[in-house]
Amino acid sequence: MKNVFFALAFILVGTFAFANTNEVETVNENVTVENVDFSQSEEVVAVDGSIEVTLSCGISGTLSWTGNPSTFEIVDAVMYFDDLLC
Amino acid sequence: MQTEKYLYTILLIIVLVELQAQNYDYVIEYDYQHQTDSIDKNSIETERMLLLYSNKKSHFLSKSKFQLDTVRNKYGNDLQKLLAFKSTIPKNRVKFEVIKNFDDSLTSSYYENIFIHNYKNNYHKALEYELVDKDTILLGYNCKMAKANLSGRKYTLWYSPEISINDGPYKFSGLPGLVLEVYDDKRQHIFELVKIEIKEVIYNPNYRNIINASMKEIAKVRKNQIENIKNSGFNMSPEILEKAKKKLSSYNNPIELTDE
Repeated sequence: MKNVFFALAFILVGTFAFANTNEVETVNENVTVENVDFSQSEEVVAVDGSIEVTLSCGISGTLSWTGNPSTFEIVDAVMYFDDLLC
Repeated sequence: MQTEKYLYTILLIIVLVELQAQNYDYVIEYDYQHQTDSIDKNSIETERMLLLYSNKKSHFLSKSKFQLDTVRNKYGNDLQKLLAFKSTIPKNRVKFEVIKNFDDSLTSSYYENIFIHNYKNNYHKALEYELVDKDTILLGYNCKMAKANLSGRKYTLWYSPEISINDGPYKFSGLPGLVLEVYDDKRQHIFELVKIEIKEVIYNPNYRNIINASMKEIAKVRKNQIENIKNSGFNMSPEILEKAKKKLSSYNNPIELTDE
């Protein structure tokens, strides 16, 4: 019993002492990045529809879909064209 | 007794959560220079890549992908914010990622993102190297030469036994030291070390729409991307699709020469 308390106390102290405070870290010269963990990210499901898109290089168009793709998939689709064409 | 049982359960949960976290201890940057069109020697693109490394596993991916995931993790799927951010970083054209497990009982994986799908190919076989009695100095490190064949290309590798990381870019791993430079004999695909940082990083991407496939199948999908988009339930303005088709036709020189 004592040992279990000791182990838990040790983990708790360790967690706080060495906790990643989630400060913004710099990986390269221009862009700040933080740690990535998508395990908690929410996903919204869309229904049939379309959006007007202006890619980061100014190219515009309409992305439409049938069915109910997730918001994540719609964003992925836009990112695909942005990476390819810009 | 009951309390003790609960405490043991809590202890077990904490240990499991700790084990699940994808922590890396090193961030190693490479430049990946590649000729996108097999017959046009001027079609050179360079992308900064990251090798996230721990002694248990490593993850090799585009730095821009990592950075976009960071922003997406923070802001969710806010398209305007994401596109605004993308205009500030280099384009992510290198869509493959390699996750290597150094525990023999686990499998290493190749991922390739094509449109909204992530194609996954598990591979077991370690590369076979021929150690060559040649030395050089790269970035101040004494390096030794090795040769290897991978999917239709012959590679020269320079690794440094002075850096005790037995890993390298892409699938190149298992030499006695970090791989600093790799190039194929036609110099169409070149990886060069830029810098090494000792830094703890958590990268825990949630791959969606994973399709397990052979490298042959992935090559086939890569070649027929426009048709796959049309079959996916998405549609894009014809003028954009036409531009995409034209652009894709100049991306015909993948790192792995796999017969379809």
